[in-house]
Amino acid sequence: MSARRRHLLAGLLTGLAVAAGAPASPAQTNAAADPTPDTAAITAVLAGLDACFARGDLAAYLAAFEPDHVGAHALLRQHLERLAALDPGLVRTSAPVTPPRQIGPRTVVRVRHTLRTGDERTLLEDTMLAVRRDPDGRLVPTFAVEIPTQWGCVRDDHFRCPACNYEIGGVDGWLCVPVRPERARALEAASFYLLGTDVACDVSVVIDAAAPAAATVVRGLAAALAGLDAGARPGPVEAWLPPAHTAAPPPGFAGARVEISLPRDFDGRGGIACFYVLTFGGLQHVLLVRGSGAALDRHAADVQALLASYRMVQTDLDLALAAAQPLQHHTGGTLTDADYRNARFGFTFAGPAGWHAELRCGGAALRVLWSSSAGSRLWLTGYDVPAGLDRWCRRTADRWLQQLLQRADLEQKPAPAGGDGWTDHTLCGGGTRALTCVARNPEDAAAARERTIRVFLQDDLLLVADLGAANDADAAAMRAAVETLRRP
Amino acid sequence: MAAHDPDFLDPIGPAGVPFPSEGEWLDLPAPPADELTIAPDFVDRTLQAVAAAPTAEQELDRPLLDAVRRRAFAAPEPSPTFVDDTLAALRRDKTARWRELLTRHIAPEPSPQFVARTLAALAAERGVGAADGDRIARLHRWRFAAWPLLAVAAAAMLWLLLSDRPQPPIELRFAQQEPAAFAHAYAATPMAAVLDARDRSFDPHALSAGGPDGTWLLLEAGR
Repeated sequence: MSARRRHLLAGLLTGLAVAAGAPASPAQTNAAADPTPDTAAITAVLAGLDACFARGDLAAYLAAFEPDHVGAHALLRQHLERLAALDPGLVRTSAPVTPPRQIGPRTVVRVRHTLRTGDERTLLEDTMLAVRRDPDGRLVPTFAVEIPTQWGCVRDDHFRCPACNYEIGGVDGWLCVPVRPERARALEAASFYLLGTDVACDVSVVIDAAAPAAATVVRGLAAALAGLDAGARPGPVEAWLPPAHTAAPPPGFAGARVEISLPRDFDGRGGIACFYVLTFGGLQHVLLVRGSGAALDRHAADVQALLASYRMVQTDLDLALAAAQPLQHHTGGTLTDADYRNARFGFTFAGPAGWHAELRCGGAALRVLWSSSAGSRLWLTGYDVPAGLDRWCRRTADRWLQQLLQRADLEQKPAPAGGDGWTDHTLCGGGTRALTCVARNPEDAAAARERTIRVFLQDDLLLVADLGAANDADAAAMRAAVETLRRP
Repeated sequence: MAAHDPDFLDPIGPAGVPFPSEGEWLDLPAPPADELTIAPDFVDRTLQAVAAAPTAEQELDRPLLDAVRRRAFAAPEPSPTFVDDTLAALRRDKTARWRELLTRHIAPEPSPQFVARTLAALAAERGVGAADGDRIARLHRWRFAAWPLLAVAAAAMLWLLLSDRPQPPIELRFAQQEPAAFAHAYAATPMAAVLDARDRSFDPHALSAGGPDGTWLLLEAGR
């Protein structure tokens, strides 16, 4: 039997199993009378999916879906395959944690999956699940996408963050799914899905102290996307403002857009990715509308309605404050000259005096860069406890450091033999270690410099200071700065 | 300093039940005094339980799969002819597939009679002389070299057409380009990979500002 036939048969069998496993709830028996399924009916669907998971039958699990969104479904497949490969003995139970609600043509529920490993460790995962009722009254899942187990800023699919100074959403048919910062590689992020279609809109908040023009940002994003996908064809960059601010744009507010054609996507029918960037000084709101060309044409009015729901919360903010406020709110950090203070994690760090200091963002809990006129750089990056773990420990920290070095193409120089390299940090508590690294393939003088990496480990934060010195005086200044770390 | 709007906070706490708002929490009545009494050994028992609980390091030291389960999932021994048989089958499939594809796109060679009749008809129509007859004869000889060239061109076009087949969704393509230890390697949006690429171009020598994926760190790194 071919793989395709096996896949179809598995789908049919799973559909029957899901339907047979569901209790004869009023919602299912009176499908025509009550179009919104109740919690019991959705629980039965989840039980059917959990049964597939328990059997390790991922083909049947995935075939139970009639996916609205091929991209989200592909990521679901990747995630399930990864879990199965990591621990075939994983046991999963799933339950809805919110009442079902109707969004456009779909019923949506937030689901909590509890996964137990063979050695009794527990992982929690939350997803947004959408289902539809087929003509026979059977519930068919169409969409499942990860959401954080805890989040703020969203109510009734309306995303509002006063600190990041914007709101968007609350539009008919659109589901809002918050995304964890480390997942989104941004200070804050959410995705909106037009349910029943393959159209989505991602929103990310980025801060760039250099405050580039909106057109420059959009051009950079298009180039980055084209760098990742050789088939992408960016169009011209155009000025664009959201309808809410077109008539009277606030001073300092600017926008631009670029449409990128993806001719080989959606089985060759062609896809579109369109970046919309709004800048307010160093604050950037980046929107990415994506989907098949046909669906975007058909639902152009829905997309325009979502874009029309975007607005800044405060239009008279000082530009410097507009960029500093999100960083302070989400990372807890502030800079006074070269001195960094973090209220969220409760520590201080005095950077080298006279150096240029800059707050950054990008998914990590915090990031600060000090740079000297000679070209030396000191990066201080803090990593939150990863989702699923309850704290950092030396082994997990070492594993993560290894990945960071590999990603940066750095090689650790041999350390003195004996011990694991960690010592207790007398002033801050927790552990600390120092690594000396060199680039594996230095491309220029800056890359060829020897790097010193100091790591500070506490239960709730992994702090990494990365020192790249251009001369001995700068190296001494950076070493002195690292010794100023205090966490009362 | 702006903060989260309390109306927009997640109503479901980590325990999966609605969490009271700050106002509701402060308005909760105090529990009766007799419910607050604790057993004399409560503190000691709690401390003992905390001390006895395995640390995160100890948990990570445990193997994820025991020997029995590893044996259960071990691959069977291949037969002695497995590799040869598989390669032969692959070769057969490949040959048959190419033959099938090429035969669709290569026209059958015209018969010598057909060519002769056509040339004769053309010559008669145009009233060609001896020099033209020589040129036609040369073209006739080149005909045998042209067909293989056309066949190669058809095969090249076919290869180009086939290599332009549909591809996985952009979300998956981009996610798969990212290292598995990083959280953004599992993002359901292409935006994360784009922002990562842009960030790395700003700071090409810096350690990544992307965070770790907890599931990878907990499960895969321990394997």
